[in-house]
Amino acid sequence: MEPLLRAIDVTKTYQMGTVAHPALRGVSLEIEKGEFVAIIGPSGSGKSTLLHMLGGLDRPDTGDVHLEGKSISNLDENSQTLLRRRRIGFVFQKVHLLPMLKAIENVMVPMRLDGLHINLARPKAISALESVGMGNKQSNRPGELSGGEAQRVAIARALVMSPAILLADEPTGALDSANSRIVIELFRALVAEKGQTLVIVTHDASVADAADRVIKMRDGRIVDDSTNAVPAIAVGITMGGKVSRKGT
Amino acid sequence: MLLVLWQHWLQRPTRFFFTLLSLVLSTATLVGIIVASHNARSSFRELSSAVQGLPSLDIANAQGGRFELASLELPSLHSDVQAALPTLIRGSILRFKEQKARGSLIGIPISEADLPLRSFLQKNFELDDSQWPGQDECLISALIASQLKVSEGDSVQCLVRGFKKLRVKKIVAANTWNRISSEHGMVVDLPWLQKATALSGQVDRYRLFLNDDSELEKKRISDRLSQHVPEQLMLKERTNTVGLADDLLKSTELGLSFASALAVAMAAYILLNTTRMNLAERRPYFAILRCLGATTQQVIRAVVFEALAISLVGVVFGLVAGLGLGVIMRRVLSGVLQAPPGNFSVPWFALIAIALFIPCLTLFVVWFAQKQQEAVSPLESFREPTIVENTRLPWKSIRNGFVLWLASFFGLYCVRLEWLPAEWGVGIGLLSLLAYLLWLPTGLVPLIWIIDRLANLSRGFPLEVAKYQLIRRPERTSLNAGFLVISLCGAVGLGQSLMSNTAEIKRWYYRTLPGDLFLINTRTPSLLIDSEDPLRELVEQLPGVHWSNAIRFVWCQVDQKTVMCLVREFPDAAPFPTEPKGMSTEKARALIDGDQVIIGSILAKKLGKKAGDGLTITVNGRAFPTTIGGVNANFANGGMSFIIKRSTAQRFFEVTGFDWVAISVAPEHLDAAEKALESVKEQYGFEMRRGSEMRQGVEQTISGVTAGIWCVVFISFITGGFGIATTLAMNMLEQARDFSLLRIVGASRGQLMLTVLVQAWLLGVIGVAFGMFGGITTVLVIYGCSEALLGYTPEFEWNFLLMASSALGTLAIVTIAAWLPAWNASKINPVEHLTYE
Repeated sequence: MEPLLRAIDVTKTYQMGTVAHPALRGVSLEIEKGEFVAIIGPSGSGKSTLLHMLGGLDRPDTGDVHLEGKSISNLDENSQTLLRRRRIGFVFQKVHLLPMLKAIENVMVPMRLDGLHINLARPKAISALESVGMGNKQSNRPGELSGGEAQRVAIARALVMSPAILLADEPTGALDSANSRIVIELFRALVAEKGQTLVIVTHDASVADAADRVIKMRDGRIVDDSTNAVPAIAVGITMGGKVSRKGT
Repeated sequence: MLLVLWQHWLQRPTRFFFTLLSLVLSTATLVGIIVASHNARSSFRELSSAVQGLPSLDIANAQGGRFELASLELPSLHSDVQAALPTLIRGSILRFKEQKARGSLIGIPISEADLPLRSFLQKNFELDDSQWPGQDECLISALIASQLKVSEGDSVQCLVRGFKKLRVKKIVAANTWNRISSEHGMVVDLPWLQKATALSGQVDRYRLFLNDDSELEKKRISDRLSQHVPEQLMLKERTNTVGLADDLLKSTELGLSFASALAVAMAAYILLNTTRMNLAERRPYFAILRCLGATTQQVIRAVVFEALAISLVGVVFGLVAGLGLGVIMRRVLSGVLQAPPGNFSVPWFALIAIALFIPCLTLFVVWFAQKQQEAVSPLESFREPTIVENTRLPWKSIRNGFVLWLASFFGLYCVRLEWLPAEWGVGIGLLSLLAYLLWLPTGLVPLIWIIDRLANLSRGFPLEVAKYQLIRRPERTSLNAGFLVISLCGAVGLGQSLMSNTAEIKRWYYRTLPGDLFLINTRTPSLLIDSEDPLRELVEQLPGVHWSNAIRFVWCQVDQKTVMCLVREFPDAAPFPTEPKGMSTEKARALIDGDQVIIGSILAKKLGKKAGDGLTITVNGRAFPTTIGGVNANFANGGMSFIIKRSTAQRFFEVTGFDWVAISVAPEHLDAAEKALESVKEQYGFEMRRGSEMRQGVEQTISGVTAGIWCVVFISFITGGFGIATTLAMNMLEQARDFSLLRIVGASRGQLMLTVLVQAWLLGVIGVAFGMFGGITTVLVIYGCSEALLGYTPEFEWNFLLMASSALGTLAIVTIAAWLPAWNASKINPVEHLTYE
């Protein structure tokens, strides 16, 4: 059966002035539907670059990336944009919410870009916000939210189009430990309850521990690809933001 | 410290480019508008010098026409005047190859000139020794030379009892020509012309060129000569029979001064906007420097030094760009309006002043922008830049705007009451403009809300993002829209006053001199056109003639002032030729019939008289008391004129003959009438011109002036557009983070482009809304000052076409200006942006 996401011998080199910096040196991987994958590695190992390739934000120099069996590397600009809008959700370390929009308006952005009328987009956005426990802050602007809250709004925005895959780049990098924990549990719940496919780039060991599978990178190559037998979750958060004790 | 700033610019070449461009633009705006204004003013001066020329007094036949030069015995005036010039003038047809033109033959004593006169003429006609005309040679006015397409050395034929050939020794520029003579044509030797026309010993005038233009000097010379001038002759100020009044153009002059002031405002605005953006963007850098131990003063010093360095570079490029802009716009507009562009000159003193002014302005703006912002705290380097939503009304701006607005209206009131000179109108206009600019941030949100309601911006996400981007930073948005407000103030304010002014001149001209055919007396003073005269009989018997009107220009004295008396008939069939203020035509006609006179508003103002007051007219030393029936807008003789009915003038001072006869003929009989009069033209000695030809001449003159002023308005618009383009481009750099995020979550390039374009359109609509208020205020200020300048407020109608085209032009310019920033925004690479975050 075709994996949900597949990278085939992907290479990427960035030119910094006269110096060439190889970021990816022939990376191949497959991610199945419903998997929770953490990509870890030291700075400069190529994690974020790989995530950009997987999300169609950048094109590989050589190799290919397939999503749901179709190549995304060779899509034209417009098709790639539509793919990102409808099939891929992004979450970043810096929250990247539009500061002038309210939480609910931020969540509505992908739907509005897709031409959905505001009246139809609004209930879906409310539902997405509620699913991350932010239903009560929908009228707040990013400046009025804590780091963790803002990140949850960003996750709601990433989920609102029901993407095939959610890609997160250091989603807990700017958060304190309590908020990090909430975000990790939210991701875990997404995978467990909704079967959401999730790829996270992280330095955070606790995030890696929560994943089903951990890919280690160094110098633009995958050096290890292992499966966590039992993801370490002590306290879970269910979809809807209710905290529940699951235990291990 | 400076190294850090320099490195910053090296890493942000785009930002550096736009900053430098802003400076270049500011300088170019100032230079362009001042060069264009200077040249438009020169056109006015040329028009004005056509009326006035060098300061002089003329001795002429009191009844008009020529006189025997020998009858004039004057004391030696060598030490009192620059020169004395007897002149004989003949209307003629000038011909060169296939080209023909009407012009005057101006006879002056070339062959008999003594050394002082020759040196005076050489100096004022700008001739060197080799260009002094000899036998069968002439000087020709550039105005006529261009019509004939003649060059120096060519032989031109002139009609004086048959065609005679004269070789062109020198083509004299029009404004140079006007110093000596306001009649354009060819300067020929006086004895030659007297012989050719069989008018031996006769001249039309004896012109005395004074040492200066002061009233004192004129009075001194008048007093000295009064006893020596024979009774049939009179001493009068040099005037043209019908000219555009300098006074009338004063209101447009005021407009040009306002345009230059707007250019300064625009330059300051561009600099302020750019400086604020640069300072705000670099606060984190400054905070880091503060962390490392830099004092606030050190930061300010570095910024000021940087501003000075960039402004010096910007000024050099700006001066060149501005000169180029001025030259190009002037040429383009002259071509479009088919107007003579006149002589181009560069106001070097102004350019040097600008070169010094811009760096000073930059330093002031940096100081002001720095002062407006809080001192940079070292802690800022640790914080994420946040946008604080300010929901409070900017009461301080509202209050300051209101104070300025009140001050401007109080100023206008003072000008109207003549407590302040009319020239203060420029400052008053700027105060009101500043008030609108201060109100911009306050009016912004409600205005966008209204646009939102009307256009339903929520229906498309790019529209909504554009709306939010503008609302989130009202000050920035206001600064951007301010460019358009300033441009529209110029376009609507100056355009409206210009159109009304020119319309007023045309209306007056067409009303005063209606007719399809004009006979212009060029020969004898005694040529009659009264009822018993055969010429009159001939005119009235021509088929298709509706009416004819004999007009005389008689010089007289009113309250020690030399004034032109327009003696004319008021045939019932002809349109009543004047519109006294606040009076019906019937009443005006009754007053004129009752021996009263209608005086020009400028004369009324200078005499301090109004309708109903008495007036004593002195002609040939005899005084005639009359009453002022009404006051009208009258531009003959610079407004120093009045109208009197021919029958009244005949009773008062025995006026005979004509200077002009206006004839109204049915169009189908016009050719026949012209032909019939052609046959007796030589016999009576008149020139004949069609009304359409006369009107065309006036319109061409007005077009020249119009071209100059439109040039100013266009430059204002273009620089406003560039200003918008620059600030939008800088805005895009600021919004790059938001745009890259939108790209990541699925915004297409087209959607981003639309977002930027909609921002620009919204800015355009905001600019138009406030700019229209500003423009209307400018119009009111200019017209408010007209009373003080002209003694009346020119009639005007709001030109909605001008307003609509200015508004549409603004939106078009904004769209063009936004295209490149929009294109750049659509090309944002989100990954690159994320990498650099």
